[in-house]
Amino acid sequence: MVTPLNVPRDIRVTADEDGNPVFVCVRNRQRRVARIRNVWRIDDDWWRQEIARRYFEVELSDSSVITAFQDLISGNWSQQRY
Amino acid sequence: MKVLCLFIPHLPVQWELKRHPDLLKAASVIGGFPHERKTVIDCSEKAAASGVHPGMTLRQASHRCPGAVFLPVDEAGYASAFEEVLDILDRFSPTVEADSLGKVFLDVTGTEHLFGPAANLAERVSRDVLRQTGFKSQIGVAGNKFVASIAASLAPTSPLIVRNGEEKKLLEAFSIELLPISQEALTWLKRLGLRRMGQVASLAENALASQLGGEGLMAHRLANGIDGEPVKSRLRPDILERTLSFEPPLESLDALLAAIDKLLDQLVPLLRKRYQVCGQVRLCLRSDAVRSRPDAVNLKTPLDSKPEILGILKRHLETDSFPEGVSEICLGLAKLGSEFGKQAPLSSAAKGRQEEALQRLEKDLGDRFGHSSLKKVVELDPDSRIPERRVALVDAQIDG
Repeated sequence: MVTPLNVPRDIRVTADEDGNPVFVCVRNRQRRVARIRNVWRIDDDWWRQEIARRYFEVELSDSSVITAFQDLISGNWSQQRY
Repeated sequence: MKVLCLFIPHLPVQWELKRHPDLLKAASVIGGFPHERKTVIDCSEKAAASGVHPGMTLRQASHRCPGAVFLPVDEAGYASAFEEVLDILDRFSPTVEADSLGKVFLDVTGTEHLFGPAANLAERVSRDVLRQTGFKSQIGVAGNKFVASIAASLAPTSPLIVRNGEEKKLLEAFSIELLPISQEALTWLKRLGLRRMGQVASLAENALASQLGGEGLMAHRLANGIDGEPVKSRLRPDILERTLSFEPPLESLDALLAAIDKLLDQLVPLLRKRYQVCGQVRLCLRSDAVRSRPDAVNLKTPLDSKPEILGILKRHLETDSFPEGVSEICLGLAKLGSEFGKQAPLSSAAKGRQEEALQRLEKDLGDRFGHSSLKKVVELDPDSRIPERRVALVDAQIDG
């Protein structure tokens, strides 16, 4: 049996009107996004089950850095190491 | 979830009064003697009425209450008395959390079938604790730990049961000082003129979160009577123990070692059956009806071998003075851990040993669970732009 590693984990994100994260809820604690360090987009598998994600590498108010993405098809937010 | 909080106010004072009933009429202060540069740990209500409180220096306490009886701290005594209370509470719930000295949380969800409604359960807990330990307690029952704890502090005579939905109303009038937040956060709230939990509860969650981060969010939730913190079971040291009694008592070291050998014959198979090794051996000898203090021998390397443990105990006993007339031996194997906690020697052929250890692990897992759960990490598509497609876990096949 093959079990993929580093699968996306659902998180709660409050985004501004441009779709940039403002608050991120990590381990049941809401933290403010202090800085967006990097943004990139991935589009793949458009010929079968389309994948469209907008990744953000963000620095939080407690100085921790996480990578999160928004699934541009479902609108859901997930955390994932990149 | 339903949580019962039991609070024993002034546990150190109550314990000292049990030992010295003559102190009942006097004001008592625990922490040491007035000339010592220490602080007050606890004090009786009479001393508190004179202005003594925990945290102040003993010198200050003696000035405020000159007639008070000053007692030294007996931490081991309080801890063992509290342990006795926890043992009683174990009968009411499988999940008992010792929060701090004198404060315990029990997860009593679903215990209605055993003990009836929460009020009956609380009465029974309070009665059993009083009857068996002599400690007066205060009990609060609520849907979570924070509210149960506040309810317990409000219930000096009879248990207080907080029904679902009434949490916020109960907390409204309480000071924000009761919120478990940092001093900085508390000062910030006070600067805004917020004094009561009801005021914090009425603020917008996002506003507090944006100013105080996680602490603000937590303060808002607690002030609204919401606390998701689960009750955590207390950890108890795992010890395998056996006792042997002798009539007539043992008079020589050889006889004592033969008895220890016999006890190890019972204990070591139990240890191996659990796939564990022990890091400490505890030996307690009773002589002339007096039980010695348990002698703990720490092992450099965790062991599960009888000859090795016996050899270590022999060397230990040879250097110690042999007590006369041993009528009882209690031998315990403690600090139990996984057998893979054994320290590997620092020598070559590490890879071969690693494979051997993996084969052994796979075999043990197969023996215990019917299948091996060993997996290994493999690269599927290391250059993929989709992170979850890069590496995966697959069943491990270790060649024997």
